[in-house]
Amino acid sequence: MARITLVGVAKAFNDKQILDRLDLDIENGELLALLGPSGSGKTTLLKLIAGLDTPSAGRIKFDGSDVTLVSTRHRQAIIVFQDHCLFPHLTVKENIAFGLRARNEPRATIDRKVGEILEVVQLPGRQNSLPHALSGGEKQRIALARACVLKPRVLLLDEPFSNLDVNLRLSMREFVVSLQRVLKLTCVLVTHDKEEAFVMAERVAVLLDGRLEQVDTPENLYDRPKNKKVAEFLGEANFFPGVVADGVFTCALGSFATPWQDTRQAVGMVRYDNVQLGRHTGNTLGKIKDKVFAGRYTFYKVALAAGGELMASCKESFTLGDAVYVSCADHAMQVYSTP
Amino acid sequence: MKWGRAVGHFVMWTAAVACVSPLLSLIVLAFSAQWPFPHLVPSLFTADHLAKLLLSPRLGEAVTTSLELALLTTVATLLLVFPAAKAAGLYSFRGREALKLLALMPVMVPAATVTMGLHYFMIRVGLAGTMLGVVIVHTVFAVPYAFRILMYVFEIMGEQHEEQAAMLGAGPLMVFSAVTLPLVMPGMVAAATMSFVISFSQYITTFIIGGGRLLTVPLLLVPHVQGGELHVASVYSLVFIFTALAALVLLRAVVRHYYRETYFLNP
Repeated sequence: MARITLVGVAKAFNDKQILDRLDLDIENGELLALLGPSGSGKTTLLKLIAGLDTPSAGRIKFDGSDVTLVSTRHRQAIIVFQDHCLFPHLTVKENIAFGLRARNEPRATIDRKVGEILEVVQLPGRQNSLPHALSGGEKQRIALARACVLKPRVLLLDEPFSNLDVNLRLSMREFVVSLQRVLKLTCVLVTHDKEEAFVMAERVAVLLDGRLEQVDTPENLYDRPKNKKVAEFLGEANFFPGVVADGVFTCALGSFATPWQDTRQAVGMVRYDNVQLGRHTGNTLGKIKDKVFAGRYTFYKVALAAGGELMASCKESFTLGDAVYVSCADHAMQVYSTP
Repeated sequence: MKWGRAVGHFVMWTAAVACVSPLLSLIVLAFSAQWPFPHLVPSLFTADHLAKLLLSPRLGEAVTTSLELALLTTVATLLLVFPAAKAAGLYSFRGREALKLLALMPVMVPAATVTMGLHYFMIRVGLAGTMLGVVIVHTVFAVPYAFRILMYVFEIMGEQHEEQAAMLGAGPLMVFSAVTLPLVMPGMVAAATMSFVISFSQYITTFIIGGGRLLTVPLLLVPHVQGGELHVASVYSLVFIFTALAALVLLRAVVRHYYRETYFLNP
């Protein structure tokens, strides 16, 4: 377990900037999610931390000591890949023992540790199976066991559940979180799935086009995205262009307080579930244009009388063509100034 | 559906007959004493040809030399090809495409041309007429095939398993012996088989570079074919086929013994 510090880490391939001067602190024993769309440089960053690649600039530190040039072999940062990457010619036991053997631990110690970790991942009795005889979830758990048995300084998970079916994915999330807590591992989870990041991580780092846009708790990230890019990426957001003057932002949805006293162009953001639809009261009038039932919520597309459209999700039931009042609380409106 | 199956069966059986019938006619020829023109099968069978050849000291010498050459060629080819195929299959670097093309050159140019050029060179360095010289020229012709096979195997394998092993703390030696080698073993077996058979069936190269000092089975066989002694040639051919087959079966057995179970051979 270690505290991981990235200082100005950058990576370029053939003049193409993949990662742009990242600064990031991952606390000892923390589970941090690295969230971003595919191609944002998440896996590249993971490889840099594991030492499979070297950064073009910047430093990587484990517990304050510089490991930028320490070889993969001696770095004790282990990636668990999406396709688990078990050695197909070795049994479960041999796979898990691989790293212990590399450290020349005595046979008795290896046997004991393999037994213990198999208990932890709830797969005792599978010692002598070959990987191809295991199910997808079992393979993933063995891959986790193989990494965890070494007590790595940081465990790096590269979209580890995206090959699993939905139910299995949910139980694996819980499993990994409890494993991480029991073993007190520093852990970085790479994912493109917001829900996965929110459910599992203590903090989420949003990586867009090679830049860390925001590193925050899931709650803050969801309620207060730092800029429009992050809000757009996290989805389920309505944007309203408007103007700020004298501390008030005015847009199609009404007027909202802002801390800015000057006059400027701005854009406001409201999440679907922060839009209130009412039959009798509200800021502005609209009409239900479309409706999609999604279980917990129903999504409504509302055409505003003043022009424009917005999306709302709520539990109340409206029918197409209903006239509704639309409103939104002051704190639910995030305002970003437009450049 | 029925018609498709019928056609499939027809193609399969035709192919099977096409593969086996030359071998059958070889066996029949090898044991025939009299086979006058209109008869479908020989009128008299004999084991004389076989007995005569098996007793001749030249056959033993030829088989031994052929096996030695094939074995040395296989080892040399694999040693040469392994690093090159790994580089070409896994890493991107300048000149990668050129390397792929270059490795195919010996089989794109007629064998006699390559061999004549090498012969001149080998006379100068004193390798003409030696075992080493012949092994070198056989290797030149085995490399293109072995390289291709292994390169594809490395491409399929990818780097991920080696990277995983390194992250788990394995040093280069352990990565190689515990991960890389077992994973490419099916390709190694295929490449070894190919090299072995190529060396075993070389005629013109052995003839030119060996200068008649190295006697191999094809060198014994060809004059009999040209001289019209079909019975003798057939017996030699049978010896040739079964020696090669036995060697390959042995090779697979050894690999199977070292590399557990049957994952590689029957995945």
